Amino acid sequence: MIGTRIAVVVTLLALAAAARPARAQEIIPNVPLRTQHGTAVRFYDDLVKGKVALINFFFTSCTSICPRTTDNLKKVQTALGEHLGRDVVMISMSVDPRADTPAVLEQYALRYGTKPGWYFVTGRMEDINLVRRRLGVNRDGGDKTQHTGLLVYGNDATGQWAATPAMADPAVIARSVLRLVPARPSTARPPGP
Amino acid sequence: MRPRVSRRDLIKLGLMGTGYIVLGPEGRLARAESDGFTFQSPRTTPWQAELPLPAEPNPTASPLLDHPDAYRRFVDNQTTFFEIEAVERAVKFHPQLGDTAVWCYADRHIAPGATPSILGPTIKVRFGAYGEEVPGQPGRVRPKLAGGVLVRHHNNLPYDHRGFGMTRNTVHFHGGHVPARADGFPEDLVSPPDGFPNKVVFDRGEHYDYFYPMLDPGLVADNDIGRDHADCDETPSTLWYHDHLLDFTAANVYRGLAGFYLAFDDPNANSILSAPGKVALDIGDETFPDTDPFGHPTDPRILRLPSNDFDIPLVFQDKSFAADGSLVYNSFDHDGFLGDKVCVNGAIQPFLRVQRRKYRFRLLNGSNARIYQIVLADASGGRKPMTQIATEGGLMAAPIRNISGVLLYMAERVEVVVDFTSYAHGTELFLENRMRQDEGRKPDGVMSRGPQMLKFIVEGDPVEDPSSVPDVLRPFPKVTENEIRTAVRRTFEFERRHGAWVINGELAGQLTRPVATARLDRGEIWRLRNDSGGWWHPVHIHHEFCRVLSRNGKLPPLDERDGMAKKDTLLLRDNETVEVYVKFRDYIGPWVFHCHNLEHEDMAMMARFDVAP
Repeated sequence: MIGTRIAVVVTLLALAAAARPARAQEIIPNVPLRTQHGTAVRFYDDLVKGKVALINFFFTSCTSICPRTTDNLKKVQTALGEHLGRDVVMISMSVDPRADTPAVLEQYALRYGTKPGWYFVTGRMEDINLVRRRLGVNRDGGDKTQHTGLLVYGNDATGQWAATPAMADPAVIARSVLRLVPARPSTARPPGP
Repeated sequence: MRPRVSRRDLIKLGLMGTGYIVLGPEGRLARAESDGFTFQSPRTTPWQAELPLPAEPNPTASPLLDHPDAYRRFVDNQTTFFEIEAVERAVKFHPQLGDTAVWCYADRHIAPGATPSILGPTIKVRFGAYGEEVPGQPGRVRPKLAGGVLVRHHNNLPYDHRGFGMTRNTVHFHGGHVPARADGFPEDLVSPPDGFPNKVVFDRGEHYDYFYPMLDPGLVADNDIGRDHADCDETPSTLWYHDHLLDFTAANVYRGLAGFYLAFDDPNANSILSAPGKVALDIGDETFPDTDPFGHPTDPRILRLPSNDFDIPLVFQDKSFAADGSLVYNSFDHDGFLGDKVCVNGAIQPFLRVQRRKYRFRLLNGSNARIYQIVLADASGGRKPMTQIATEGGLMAAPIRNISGVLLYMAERVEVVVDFTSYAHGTELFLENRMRQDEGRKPDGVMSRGPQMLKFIVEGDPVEDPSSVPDVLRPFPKVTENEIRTAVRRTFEFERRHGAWVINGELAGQLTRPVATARLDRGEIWRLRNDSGGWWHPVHIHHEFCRVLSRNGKLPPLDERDGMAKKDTLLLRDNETVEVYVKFRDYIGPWVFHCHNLEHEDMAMMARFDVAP
């Protein structure tokens, strides 16, 4: 009787271990990156883990969709208000990492007047491509202009992720993102307009 | 009986599907591909469980109505009230699989001891319009806007939810012809058009009232109450309801938020309306006598299609499961998520014992991104005939007999009648899926054999079968040349730019403004074009059924052609163009049309259109 119970418990534990949900970094690669401040970070551990994140892809010399996208995301930044940097991060990852050094990214961020909590990151091309593949935004191979139109957003702590066009109405983007922010009694601010 | 495992038990064991992807049976990700992940669900032995058939909900006695003004002219003492709640529940998709936490629509008034199903309750209603004399004007008849169904949907999803899916709800009545506020708009509008509520999405702990008039179209007209005619040749038969939340429809429907809604003709409807009445009545009673007790012939319009126990809805949904039974989903697969197990009515490879007679099967593709080629076959793959009788818009003008298979794309409904009379006792037949599909973008072609999804076991001797499939079902006039000439014409070209969906060069999915505003009761011809090579898109237009005028400039295939069928979802293969006629007859308000590959929809492959007076 006791033996059976132990066997059941052991089986359940084994089952629980085997079926343990994948940790997020198994999906979101924990690749090494550098921010616009030159800081070395790990993509998952330092930027995404436990946070509400908006992730898009761009490159500074892009003259087509990227400038408009960054403009639009700047409006999102405004709409996010005090949440940015506190419980929400914005991550713009360069798909032209050789040209987009931290110094170039810093200039770019200065030009757009981005606030703390919005990270521009660069790294090794293969690492960035891995991130793009894992986030489902690089189905069309090496063309760096592809998938610059998408914004992946989600809450790593709860595992809720979605995607939306980066050029979507900034108020709608901000509202969708803030819905993922857990309510804090101290702020008592309803999400959205 | 499905064992019940509490949510707390699941959490204690760490078995809740918290991730967008879960470790495979060997304790590691099954395979990491360059483009993402493929996943292998645990092996399951086929044909272990009977096909689940979700029960009808139990009406509630107390009238429910949050916004009496909005629905005042419809709701009366003939209205049926249901209460359905979205809840999380541990269920079994297969006897050998662990418990799976799903979200389902549950009947709030379920009988004690009844087994809850994975699918939502199957709502069955009668469809039609009654007439009444205009007071003080003898002989003048006007339609009476009475009856209908009011469903109060509650959101009781967990507060501490983790993992894919969003615990906010908006319920779309797919194929329904209902006021805009009951359609399940994907998101609250900050500045909605006049008369449309600010809030249509409801959160945990909240509810929303959906009123479905179930009236013949053409009758109501939001701008002009009291027309004296209806389009009586349009009764849908197989509809469904599912979540439609902006950005999260795919995850929420994959988690289980879907159910059937079956409509039948009301034999008493429109008997005193001046307009030509219904030409056929699908009343869901094959045993309806040919003569009344006095020997007089009964209504010759009454059809006797296989009914009740022999009228079976089947929804096909592909899912993946972790070793513990929890659902596996990849929120980062924006091309369309494919599962590796096809569930029929929420069971993996179930069986159904059938008698030697005719059956009506209502096939619904409730998958996110999988397209099926469904074939009835014997164990060695020999094809057996089926007769197609209906599409999304209800019964076709005439049956198509001896079809060899059914192409079924997302949200599409096809009804078939299968006659098992000639198969010997013990014969086993299967519904096979012969469509090969390895990625969400589109299928890879039809195979000579495919996985078996459902087994029929033929039992007994031939039985008396009062049902029949006549050569004429529900004929209706084609769109006339004059209607075509005077229609407003619009073109919607779907493209993909920088990975985002674009309609007519503009970013899709911006629901704050309409891409088109149609006028009530004014015919429109929409040319839908798919410019994205390599992708298939089943496009679903809300509010009205479409008449398919042409496909790639040619006469459309019979099963979607105007004069034969009515459709609410239209397949656009790569570089295809489909032309449809549509007339928005009754309800003003904001509506949407969108790709019903749910991941494409969530990636904003959607547009708002308005209908104005």
